[in-house]
Amino acid sequence: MPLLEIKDLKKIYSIDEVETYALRGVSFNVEEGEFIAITGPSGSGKSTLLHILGFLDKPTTGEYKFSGKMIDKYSENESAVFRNKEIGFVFQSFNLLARTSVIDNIKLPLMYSDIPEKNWHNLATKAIEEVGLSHRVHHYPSQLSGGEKQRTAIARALITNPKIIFADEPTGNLDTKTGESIMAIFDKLNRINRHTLILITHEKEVANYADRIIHIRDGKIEYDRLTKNGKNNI
Amino acid sequence: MKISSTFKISFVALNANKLRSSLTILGIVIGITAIMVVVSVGRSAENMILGEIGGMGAEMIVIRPGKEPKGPTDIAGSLLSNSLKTQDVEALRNKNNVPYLEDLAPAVIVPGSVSYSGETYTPVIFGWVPDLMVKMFDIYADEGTFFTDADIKQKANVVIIGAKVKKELFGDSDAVGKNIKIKNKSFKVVSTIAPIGQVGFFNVDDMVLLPYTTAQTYLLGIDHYHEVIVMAKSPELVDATVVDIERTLREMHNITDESKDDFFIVTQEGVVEQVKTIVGALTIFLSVVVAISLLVGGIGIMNIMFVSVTERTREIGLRKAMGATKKDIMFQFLIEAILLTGMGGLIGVILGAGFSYIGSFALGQAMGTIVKFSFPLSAAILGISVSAFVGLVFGLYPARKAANKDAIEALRYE
Repeated sequence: MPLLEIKDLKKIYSIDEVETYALRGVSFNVEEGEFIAITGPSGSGKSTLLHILGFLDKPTTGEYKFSGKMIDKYSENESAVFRNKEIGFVFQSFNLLARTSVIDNIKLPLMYSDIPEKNWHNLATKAIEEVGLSHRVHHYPSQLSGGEKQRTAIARALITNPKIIFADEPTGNLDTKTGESIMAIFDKLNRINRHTLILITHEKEVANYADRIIHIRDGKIEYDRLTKNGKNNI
Repeated sequence: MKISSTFKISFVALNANKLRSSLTILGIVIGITAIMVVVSVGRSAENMILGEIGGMGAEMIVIRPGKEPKGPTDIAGSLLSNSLKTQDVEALRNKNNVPYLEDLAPAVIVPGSVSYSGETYTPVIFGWVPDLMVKMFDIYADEGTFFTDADIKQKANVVIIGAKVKKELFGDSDAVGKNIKIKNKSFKVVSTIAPIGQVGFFNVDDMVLLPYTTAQTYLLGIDHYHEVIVMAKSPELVDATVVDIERTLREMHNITDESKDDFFIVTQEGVVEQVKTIVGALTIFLSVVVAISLLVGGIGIMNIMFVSVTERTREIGLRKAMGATKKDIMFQFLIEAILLTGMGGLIGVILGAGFSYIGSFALGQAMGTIVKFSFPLSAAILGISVSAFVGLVFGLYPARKAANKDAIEALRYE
């Protein structure tokens, strides 16, 4: 059973009775352990797709199954709980809380989980080790470099051990070298820790870290193909 | 979401904007400080006045000449009025007129000082009846014996002096048997009163007592009284006795219209009620002021919470993406507002307690007695709960606004 199954997903925004198609029928499956890059020019609908896949938004029509479960009937509250348990997010602009230490930033999702507080510290320490930030535990975001900020954000996404991690342009605010180090972490998370990853990018080099590239243009899949990595990986 | 985490987040958020937070809660602080001061000083004053009256026994009724004072100038009028005379006292003593009267004593006040071999001191000099004082104040003779009704009848030149007066004039040597001077007239000290301190409105230790007849004739040259003190047979009979006294005196003075009374009656209950009415009215008035201040403070809180919600739009989006429900977000901002106003309340309580302490001290100085400071615990609890409630009420709408933000929009907010 695929982890994600989406069938003919459409998203229409109507503003002042003018209908704008963000997605015009997108279908694909994601297997557990896959590393997928969604690429496409801006305005292609890739962000909308990510929001729908990440339970932040709902499709206008179409089917979305997560672990075989239809989820389009989820209430706002159920979606929030689901996001907390099953999904990790990494954003382009890091979105760390200022005046909150690295470790407390990483613990943020735990606040909304039912994981007992006594386990929080261990989970956070483990997540920090995964991203190689053990020396920065009590620093504040303002004291971190861009790469360190993004690593903190990745650790935060990992801490609830989600089924899938979505990364929206994770290297967009970083220089090439730092971007590569971040991608190395994603690569490791996927190949060694078997995390399922979907990332959005418009950089070809970044996309090539993935097993599979889904290219979107004007709300439709233009192509969906395995990369060299993917062929080796499967 | 854990309440402890919520508090931590709120604390970090408030701490990040210390100046803004402090300015925001100023209105609340002032409001709660005012509550505390009003309640505390009001109660201290009430306690002081009630305590003084309470020392005098509930059976006591004081009749004063003149009109009931409505202001400071009337009190002087009362001292000058000569409407209470011997025949009035005789009429009141008549069991047919006032059946529940236990005892009665006229009193006069003598302004002036006393002296003994070069030492001069200014005590409170009363022409009075020791018997009634013994019943009222529980005093007893330290040395010698109190003068009697016979002395009063004979207008004897005898005095009883309080412990402090004795110390001032005689130091450690004996006083009984010595002659002291009041207005150049000689009076023999027959007794000293054992130290007792403040009783009711009087500092007994600071008193000099002589027969009222003596004082009237030799010191004041008057034939009326400044006060007539009546004891009813029991506290329950005070009201009935007051009615009887009023009827008797009106008859004696040919008064048919109550508003033309040339005397007035003070009972403990009456004074207690008056004090309570004044304090109550003051409290209501100031409560309105406080309510307005809290309302203004609350609006300030709401305003700053809206600013905070807007500023932290991205944070709200992030929290939602991480799994925060609407309820979690709402709760977080509500707690923040409550924490803010609650702290304002706490500061107000502390400031209020401080001001009240100073206030009751100043009141004591002004009144010449010690006003016991009482920390109004109920007002403190009320103050903190009211301010927390203000936070709840005025934080609700901004918190709802925060909770209803769309996660995607919020994450995109610059």
